[in-house]
Amino acid sequence: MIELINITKTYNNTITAIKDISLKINDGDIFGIIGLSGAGKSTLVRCINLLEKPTSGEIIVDEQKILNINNKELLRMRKNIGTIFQNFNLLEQRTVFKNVAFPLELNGVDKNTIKEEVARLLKLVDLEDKANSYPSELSGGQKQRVAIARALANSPKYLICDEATSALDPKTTDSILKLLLEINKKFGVTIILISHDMSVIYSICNKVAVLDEAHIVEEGDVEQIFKNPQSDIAKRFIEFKRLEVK
Amino acid sequence: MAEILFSSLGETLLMTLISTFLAYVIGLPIGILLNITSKKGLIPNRPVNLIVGGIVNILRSIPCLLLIVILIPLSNLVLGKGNWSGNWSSMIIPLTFAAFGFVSRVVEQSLAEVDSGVVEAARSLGATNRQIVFKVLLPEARSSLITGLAVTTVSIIGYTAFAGNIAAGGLIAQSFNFGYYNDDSTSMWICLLFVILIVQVIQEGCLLIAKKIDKRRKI
Ligand SMILES: Nc1ncnc2c1ncn2[C@@H]1O[C@H](COP(=O)(O)OP(=O)(O)O)[C@@H](O)[C@H]1O
Ligand SMILES: [Mg+2]
Repeated sequence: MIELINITKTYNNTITAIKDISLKINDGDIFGIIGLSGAGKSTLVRCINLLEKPTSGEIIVDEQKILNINNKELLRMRKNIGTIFQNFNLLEQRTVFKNVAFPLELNGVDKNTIKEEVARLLKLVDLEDKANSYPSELSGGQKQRVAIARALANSPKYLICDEATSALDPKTTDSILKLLLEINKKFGVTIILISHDMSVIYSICNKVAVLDEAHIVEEGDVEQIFKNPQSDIAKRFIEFKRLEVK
Repeated sequence: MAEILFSSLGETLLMTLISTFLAYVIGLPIGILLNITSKKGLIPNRPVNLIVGGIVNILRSIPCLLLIVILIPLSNLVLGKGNWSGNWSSMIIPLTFAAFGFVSRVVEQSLAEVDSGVVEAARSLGATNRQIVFKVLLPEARSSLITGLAVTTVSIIGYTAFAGNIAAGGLIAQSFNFGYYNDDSTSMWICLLFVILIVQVIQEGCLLIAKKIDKRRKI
């Protein structure tokens, strides 16, 4: 379980990217966080995967307070929380195989085990035939699959997806979401899914928090918020509107 | 003529290659330090960045010719008293000092070109800073580092001209001697031709390697 208690992050003492955020993400959840661009979604997840230290508040991961742990424990924690990104962020000079092997190399895993593990992961994301390709030779969907395999190589308990499908077309988006759902159901990986697209959240999330201008304005079961949104911003995410010019 | 030409060619190659190597031995770590302590680096540290960057800047503003003079004590110490002139090896220390500040900046620039998103991904995977430098920054920047190597080597070849001032030999000094003192422009041009050839081989060779090892999308 990941618990955020009154998390605030201020940059340069001026820009408050997130303010007073409290959230509980239960094991097995696919927890959606939806918000417009600039709402603070990436800042929030960067606090959760410990790439950024909140200005104030407390984060508890599996009953452990994590904001004052030592460097060694911090690295161990990060390995337990995988992240995939909108821009995939693959190592461009490494093959697909070597990208997935990267976290294992960091952990000092021996060559034979790496071979077996990478083969298993590439099979999982259906990219066995691309092991020797370079990222520049792949489509967006394929790149994201590599990123997923790479993130899973650490066998994380949590997986954060920061706009992971925002650069993909609808069909590819569906296939990636399906893969995420499968990972959640098969391996029990808890997923935190960031998006600005309600249809993405609705596809696979059970819970959702609506983020607007650094605050959480609404939170609850996806079905419930989808049927009966309270906040204006949540309503806007669901509405379809035809634009007009005079 | 042929004998002089080949010994000069050897001197130029030795001066250039050894100094380039030493300039990287010193300049590469400094370049890494400058990159990781910069504002967007792995461990931002303004004081360290400013001080090291300042020293590099000062070094780069001293002309190579003056470095020869300034570094006479060091050359004497390393090569033996009186050996600061008269042999190709006399140029190694001045050339290394003339180049390693330049190398630091070239390396810093190459590493800065690595996508910050890739570094963030590595951090999220629990990589240590050391692992990020050696497994992400340097390998991802490898193509740019090789092009930087070409630029560095070619400028060091240019600096070898000052070997003439301390009788340290080499193609450029020899070429000058032929043209200026002996009024032998044929020999002068032959020497120069070899310099041009070396520059071409280094530049094009490095570009070829840089292209070959670069697996990013070719535009
Ligand atoms: N490193 C940073 N330094 C300063 N401001 C930042 C930084 N990162 C994000 N911000 C600011 O914080 C706010 C939220 O950004 P972000 O978390 O990236 O939003 P989102 O992911 O929802 O688009 C924005 O106003 C952004 O400009
Ligand atoms: Mg974002």
